[in-house]
Amino acid sequence: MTARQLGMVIDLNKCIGCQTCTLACKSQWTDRDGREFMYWNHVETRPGKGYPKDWEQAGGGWDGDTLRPGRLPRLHEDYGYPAEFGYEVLFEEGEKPLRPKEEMAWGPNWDEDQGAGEYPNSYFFYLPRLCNHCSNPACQVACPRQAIYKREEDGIVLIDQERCRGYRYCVAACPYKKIYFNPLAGKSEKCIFCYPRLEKGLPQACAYQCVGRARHVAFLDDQEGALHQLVNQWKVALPLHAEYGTQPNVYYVPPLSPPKIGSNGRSLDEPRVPDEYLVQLFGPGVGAALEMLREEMAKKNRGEASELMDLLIAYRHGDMFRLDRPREVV
Amino acid sequence: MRLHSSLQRSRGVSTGIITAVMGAALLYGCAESPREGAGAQMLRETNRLSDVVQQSVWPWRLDRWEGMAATVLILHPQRMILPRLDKGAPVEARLWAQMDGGQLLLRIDWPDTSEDRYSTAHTERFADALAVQFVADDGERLPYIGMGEPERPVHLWFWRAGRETEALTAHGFGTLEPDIANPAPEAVVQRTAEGWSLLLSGPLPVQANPLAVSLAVGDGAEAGRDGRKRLSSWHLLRLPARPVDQARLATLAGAAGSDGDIERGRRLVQERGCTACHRLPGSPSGDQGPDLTLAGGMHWPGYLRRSIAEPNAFIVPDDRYRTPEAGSLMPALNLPESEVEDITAYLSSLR
Repeated sequence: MTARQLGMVIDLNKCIGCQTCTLACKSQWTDRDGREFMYWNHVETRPGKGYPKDWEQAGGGWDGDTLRPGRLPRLHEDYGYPAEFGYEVLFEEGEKPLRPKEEMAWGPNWDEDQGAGEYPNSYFFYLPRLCNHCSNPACQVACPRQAIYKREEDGIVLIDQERCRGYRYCVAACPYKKIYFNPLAGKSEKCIFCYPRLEKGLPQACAYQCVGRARHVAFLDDQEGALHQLVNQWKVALPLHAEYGTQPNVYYVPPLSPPKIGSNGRSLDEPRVPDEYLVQLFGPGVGAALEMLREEMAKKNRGEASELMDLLIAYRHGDMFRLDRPREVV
Repeated sequence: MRLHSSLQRSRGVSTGIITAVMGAALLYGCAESPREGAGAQMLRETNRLSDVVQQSVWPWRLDRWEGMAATVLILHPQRMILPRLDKGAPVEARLWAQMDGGQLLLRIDWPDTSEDRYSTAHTERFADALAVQFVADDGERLPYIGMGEPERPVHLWFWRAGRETEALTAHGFGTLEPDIANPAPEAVVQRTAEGWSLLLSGPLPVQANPLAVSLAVGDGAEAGRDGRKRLSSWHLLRLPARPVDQARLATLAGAAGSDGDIERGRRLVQERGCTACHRLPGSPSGDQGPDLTLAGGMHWPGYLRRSIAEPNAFIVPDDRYRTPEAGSLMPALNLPESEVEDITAYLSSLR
């Protein structure tokens, strides 16, 4: 454990899958020099295979107090590589369409909006993902060179690029597959939680640019912060795959969904997104979290006050980010 | 006196020759000197020493080495420290060494049936690699074979198929970093049907003579990198046209053998409880201490002898092998000297 831990809550009820966060991150950090295929932040459609493809089946994380073996995603098959386009066809006569030079078989967001279920009960929701800056990071322990460290003042997990030799034990160990090997540099790289922005008092690019106001950033021990209130008090923000054992510090408000429609065309007393599916992702706290959200929403609908709804609505953008300078690090 | 007792114990060294070695140990000789020390002779016979040829063969090409004798070094899967190679057979590498002025030229041939070159189009592949490790100092005891020890650094020449060579340095497992004192070696490489033929050259990274070196290879096909490699034991190169530290040579020779009884040693590792913690042939379950199934292939016998007698002298750098008080998990056994010697002889025979 570090002296303090900065965390993020992402409200999945407000995420519209616009990928503004993805692009905010990409244009800031990963648009060149071997990082073209990397998305330190991305939004995937669930249910779906995600990015990299089938990352939940790629192993990693903890099995008790030992590391669970993991496999390395492949650049073209699992991540998908940005296609080259033959732009010269635009200057040729005829009606040849502009197409990728090589046929693509997979890429980030490849299965966008596919989801699961049959009409009229098909369903999907968006899941933004980034490094969880875990409190028990498997990547850090897997590195035989101690190249990965967690900052004492805010718990951000970073790879020392001077020490990294591209062994990729960390890539295999991260159960979220949020460490990427840069094959040009020969080193591994990851989300840095925008620490250079934080040090200037600015929130992460992904959080700041979110048009849906879905992302809250605060220190976990900050009693006034959204993290403490949503995670510990209201218990509506839950970690993703807590069973991986890494103690992630990005939390999600699970998605409410409209009721299922019965064969007679009427609404059933059952949400479109099955609770069991949400439990697979966010654990056993899902039921209580959704119930709490429903109750507080109902209050608001009746014209009553709801602190929780006010917090999630985030009337003032600036209130979503509490980046006070760290207390003295002991 | 340690030197004297260990020399007496060395197999095939008679008392008469010991006196000669002790005399020679006081002098500095030359590799070309007709007075060949007994230690050097024994080291050469046990394939722990070879002489480096002086000749000018510019331009340095792989085909200039025909007719020259190669030293065969056996590279064993690294199993002392995690990450390790649990499977795989030893590999036989051939080493040719020569000096051209101040430049050291090493040609290494080793078998590797799959050609694995570094690819910028893949994130899951690893390239075939080779490292030459040089002991930086001229101490009378060789440092730990795996990346040296604190205060006992090693220099390395590192080559990977499809990448630039690197000069590196380390002073213990996990401490590898760029070597700012030495340039990266020049490499000429040829891919053959059987494996790699690699010529590395550069200024001598270390001035000691004899020069202790070891080889390591990583096989991309088995995700070789870091501890997942095959490793030789230390090998001494006697450099031409410069003084040889005969005293050091004699000391190293004294620690290069054991006159213990291998069979008795085999019994003793069971009786004294070694197999409870160490993996050994016929006792595959021990995982509290370093795997010793190939101990003789990677360690100088003197290292094994010292580790048995003084477990705290050097602890293999893995947290599993330490107590919270940072001492060795291995208790001091206070074995009689003859038992230490028998176990040393047995472990040295494992390769």
